[in-house]
Amino acid sequence: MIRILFCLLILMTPAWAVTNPDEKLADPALEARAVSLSRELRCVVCQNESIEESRADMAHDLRVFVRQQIRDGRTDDEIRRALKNRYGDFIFLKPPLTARTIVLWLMPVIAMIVGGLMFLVSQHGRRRRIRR
Amino acid sequence: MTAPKTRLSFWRIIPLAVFIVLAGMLLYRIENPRVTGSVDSPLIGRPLPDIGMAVKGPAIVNFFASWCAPCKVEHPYLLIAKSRGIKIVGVAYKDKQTNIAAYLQRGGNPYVNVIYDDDGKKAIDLGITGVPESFLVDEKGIVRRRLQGPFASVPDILQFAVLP
Repeated sequence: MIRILFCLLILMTPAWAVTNPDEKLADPALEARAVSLSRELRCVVCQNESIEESRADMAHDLRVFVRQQIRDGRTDDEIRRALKNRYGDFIFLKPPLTARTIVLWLMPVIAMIVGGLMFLVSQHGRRRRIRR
Repeated sequence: MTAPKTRLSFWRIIPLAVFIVLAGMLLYRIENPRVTGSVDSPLIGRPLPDIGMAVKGPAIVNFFASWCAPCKVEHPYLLIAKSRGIKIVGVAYKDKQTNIAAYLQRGGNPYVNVIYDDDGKKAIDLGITGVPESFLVDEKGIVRRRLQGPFASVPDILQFAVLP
């Protein structure tokens, strides 16, 4: 019974893309570009979703904006720059590596080093105690 | 025997101390949610994008909508700012002209002009994340300040309207 329920749960995975069929680009290659670009962009209303996944009205408008820009023949980088000029780095789910975000990017490494040192110190202390 | 034990407990306290510091930072942000500085608009210091009308400042460009609850909160402050001689240009975000007319007749009209942004394109051009949102534009048409969310008080809007 639990197994069946579990299988049903897996089948229930939500449909990620919420793009309406009528806002999709006719050319599948261009549409694929729009989708991959939209996955990088933060929905400014819900913040932890990309605009590709979000049902928010503003995310819809941004998806339409991205597709309009692609239709106008802009490159991905030009579209990224256009959005950066409006929303700043905040629009990107992955913040770019700059002097201001360096701590953010290095934090996992720092945490590993500090955690490793703490582990070594605690092991050292324990060994000394065992020896006594 | 006691000496190594105290050293060990010092190391054990570190994760707890880190947790307390992080929790404190989080609580501080929850108590002081207004975002300024670090995630400020990239438009600041640059000309106001085209909103369908040349804005000659000093003026406040205020995005609003008749369906927006926080807009109603700041509406009285907008009216007081107007009475103190502050020029406010309204941009009606995704709204109908009839609704806006009724809204301004009911609550008073603080705007020198109302521009319509039916499809939300102007909002995207200005990097808006929701309504209300306000920009201070100087006499050269350069954006000088941005506020996300409503003005909280009369001093709040009067301070905002002073060019930095």
